[in-house]
Amino acid sequence: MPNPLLRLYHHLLGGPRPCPRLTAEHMANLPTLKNSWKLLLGAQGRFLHLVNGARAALRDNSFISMVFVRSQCTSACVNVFAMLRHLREITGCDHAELTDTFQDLRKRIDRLIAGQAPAPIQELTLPLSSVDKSMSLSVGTKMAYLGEIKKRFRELSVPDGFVITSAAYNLFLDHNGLRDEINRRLQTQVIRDMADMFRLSSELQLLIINSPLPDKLQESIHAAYRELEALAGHRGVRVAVRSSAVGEDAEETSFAGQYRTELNVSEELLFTTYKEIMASKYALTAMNYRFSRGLKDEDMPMCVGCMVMVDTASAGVMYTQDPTSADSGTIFINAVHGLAKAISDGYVTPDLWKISRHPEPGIMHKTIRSKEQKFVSFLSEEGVTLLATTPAQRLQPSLTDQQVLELSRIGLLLENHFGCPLDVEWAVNKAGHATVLQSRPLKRVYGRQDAVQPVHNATRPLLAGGQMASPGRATGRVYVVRTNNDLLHFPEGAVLVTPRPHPRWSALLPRAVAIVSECGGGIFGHLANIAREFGIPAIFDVKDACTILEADAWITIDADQQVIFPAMKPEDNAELPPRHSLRDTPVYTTLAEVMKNVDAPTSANPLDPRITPERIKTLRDVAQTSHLLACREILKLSHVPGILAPLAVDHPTNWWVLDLNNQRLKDNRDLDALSMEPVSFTAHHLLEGIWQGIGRQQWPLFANSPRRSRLLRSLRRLHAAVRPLSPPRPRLFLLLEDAALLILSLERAFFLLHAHAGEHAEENFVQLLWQWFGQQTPSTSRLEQLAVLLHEQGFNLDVAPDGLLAWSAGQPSETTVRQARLLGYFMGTVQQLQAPSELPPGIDLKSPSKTSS
Amino acid sequence: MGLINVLVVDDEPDYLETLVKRLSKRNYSVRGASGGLEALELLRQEPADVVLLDIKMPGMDGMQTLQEIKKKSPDTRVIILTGHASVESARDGISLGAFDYLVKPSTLDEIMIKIQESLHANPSL
Repeated sequence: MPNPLLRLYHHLLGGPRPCPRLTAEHMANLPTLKNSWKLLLGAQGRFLHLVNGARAALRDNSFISMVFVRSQCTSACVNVFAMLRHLREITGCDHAELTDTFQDLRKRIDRLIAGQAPAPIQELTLPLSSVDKSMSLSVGTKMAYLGEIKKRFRELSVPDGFVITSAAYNLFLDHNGLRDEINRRLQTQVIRDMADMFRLSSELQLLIINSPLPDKLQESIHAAYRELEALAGHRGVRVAVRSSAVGEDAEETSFAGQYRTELNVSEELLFTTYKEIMASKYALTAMNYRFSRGLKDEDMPMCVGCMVMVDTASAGVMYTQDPTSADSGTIFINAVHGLAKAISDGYVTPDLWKISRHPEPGIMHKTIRSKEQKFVSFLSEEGVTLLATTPAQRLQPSLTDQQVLELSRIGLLLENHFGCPLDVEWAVNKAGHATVLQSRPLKRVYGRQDAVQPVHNATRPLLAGGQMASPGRATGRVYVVRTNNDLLHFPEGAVLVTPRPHPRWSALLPRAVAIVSECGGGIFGHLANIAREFGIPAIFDVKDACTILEADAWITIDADQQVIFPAMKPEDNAELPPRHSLRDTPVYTTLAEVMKNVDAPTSANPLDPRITPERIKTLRDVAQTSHLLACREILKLSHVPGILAPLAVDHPTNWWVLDLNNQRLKDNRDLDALSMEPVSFTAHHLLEGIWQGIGRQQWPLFANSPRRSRLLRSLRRLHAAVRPLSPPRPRLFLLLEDAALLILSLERAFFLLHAHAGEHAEENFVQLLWQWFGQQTPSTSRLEQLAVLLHEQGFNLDVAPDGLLAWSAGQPSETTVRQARLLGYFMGTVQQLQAPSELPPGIDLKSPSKTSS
Repeated sequence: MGLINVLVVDDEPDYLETLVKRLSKRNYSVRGASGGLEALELLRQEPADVVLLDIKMPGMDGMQTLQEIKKKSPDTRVIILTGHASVESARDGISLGAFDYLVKPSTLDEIMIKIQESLHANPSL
């Protein structure tokens, strides 16, 4: 590199002198140089394109999966790595500092996108009595809570059982090589509609079910089952096999009923059932739910709990507080005869008790309903049976008052221990004692306070009554879902009307605006839970809803008041119901966290005055630095005498072109005798584009600002000359194949416009660096004004303390040329005192024009 | 009314065996067939109330089998089981007279409910 003092000297004595050794070397390497430069640009284009995609995903709150995040990050790193390699080829230096910084960033990003650390517990199965809340990563949330209750509250009854841990899940996956296979299918399958989702779900589940359990795991489960038999004191113990996914039932993401639970399972079918429950991780609803909530697939190993069946007389669900209001004085208990499955799956409208919490639990209100069916389990059978109840049994309360109060006390005890409102599933055995089956934090959604609707006063409701399952109001068209086949045709934005709130329908919740069901127990049950989580209003227990509500009719449902009105088709510009937001979901947070290491340049020109670690904090910085270092190297060529050609244009100042595509440079024998003909701006598509932009502006160039004094002017030129990117002429176009680089080195600002417009859109980009110096820093309001202008034209904009970068990537060649033209115009604009209120035709990208021909 | 007579047709032996085993324990009279021809032969010997039919099998495929069953005994309810095969073909199956379809793997509950529903439905559907 020439000594700055020497350059200074050259500069003061009437212009630069070439450095013959350096340039000859460069000219000899020209083919390699050009090739590396081209590859570097391609990588930079792809990198910017990826950054753009990730930004859009974050901004638009659009569907993102962990697969997307991971693949974007990997490609981003790979492309910056490629840029560094090509930079080394161009400069012949190792750029160790830059490479080290990159490696640090890459490691940091890898850590962020890596799955969870391996489970700390190595045992494949664990007795429930040895499990507690701290072990949720190894045994899943559900079993961790239940184990904690069993351990801490000896006086409470919790069934004996064992947990098949996440270590077992991992062993099973690795044994069969399933991890990669599942990821491969998740990545390669195109999901366009429900049918595709069905297919993928079925494929993944069968993949798991048809894979064998490793011997070691089979032995461990056998041994645990034998222990259970020993505890029970008899052979042939029947178990309830429940999913307990890691991350399931966390407060924000209750996987209520998403995964499978099998009751009354015999030893003979235990292995099959275990695999089926692991497979239910990919059940349609669960998969859909994970996608729409932005949950990471592989962070959720499937643990499974096997618990001795309780000889159940009645069972149900208790909410220790009202899930739909902030009022915290009431406990809710739902109960049915037989197993609680009748409630969670919405078969029966259950009995309801409301209990005041203070000072002592006391029953405030009870509603006994006609319970026409019940689930029971028989030792002679596998699974559970739905039986009709006798007329005498139907109206019989499923709990005595005393049992209700006992359950309430258990609820308060547990709530006090876990420190949050809970959702407790319990059973009362034939001897009348209560057993806790599971417990998890209760998700609460509050209804609207302004529920009175004057709008509807005039209209008579179609239906009134029922129980609010999830608060809110929504309008949509009726779509009745009875069969799986209906599931496939469910339109976006319809009201789901169904005979029974089957948990399977939750797969539709991302598309539905509201739910109306003919039976079901209001706020209890899986579908109600998930509806609240998605913020979708729901009314259950609405008699004859499927017959009274006509298919395709527009209705408005008001869940808070439990009324349904006829509605008009909303205007197209009517306010759409708020869709579920992905913000704060794990995938979204991970992407946002990763982007802190990827995006936003720390400085616009990291080379000026010199590269320091503080200036390189993100992948963007590494990319930008590599880009500028490569530019600097290429610009050394411009010092070859006679290599620059004047641009043949009518303009007050001189512009120069270094055309590396020029045939004469191919054979570099007569370097000394070079002299270039003037170049027309139509010689290169990007040169033409940029020039059209520049030519449209009045150019009160700073370079031509009135001389104050010779000395001052010299000092300014001096300053411009020692900037790290300074060619012999301050207005220079460098052309190479499909790329053009414009360097405009002025006294008050420095511009570097770089565009790459080839046949591969994903490699194309255009980027303008505008670096300002000290006093010339534009005011905030002016920057805002310019930012609006660029945003409107579809550019990305990054403002750093020393300057700004306006860029766009991934566009086809023609668009890229037009964008380059706009940025050419923009360079002139920012030197005007006021930004133009609108762009002239031919420059404005929003109004397509044909002037580029 | 005697036991409900169910025929499960599936070419995957594990799946077939598990399902037959489970249904047998639930008071159904269950037979299993591993292919379309075998299924038709079993139906010829003794008709079934409900056939659970895998849509994708080697040899005579589910669609053909379905058409044959419907031709010979229109009253037999057919519920399609679909796995790797496309859901679209299951929909086609419904237009050929199947009652509904279930996506594998379905829980025993779902299968039993579907069997009950099909028996209560109008056979001309």
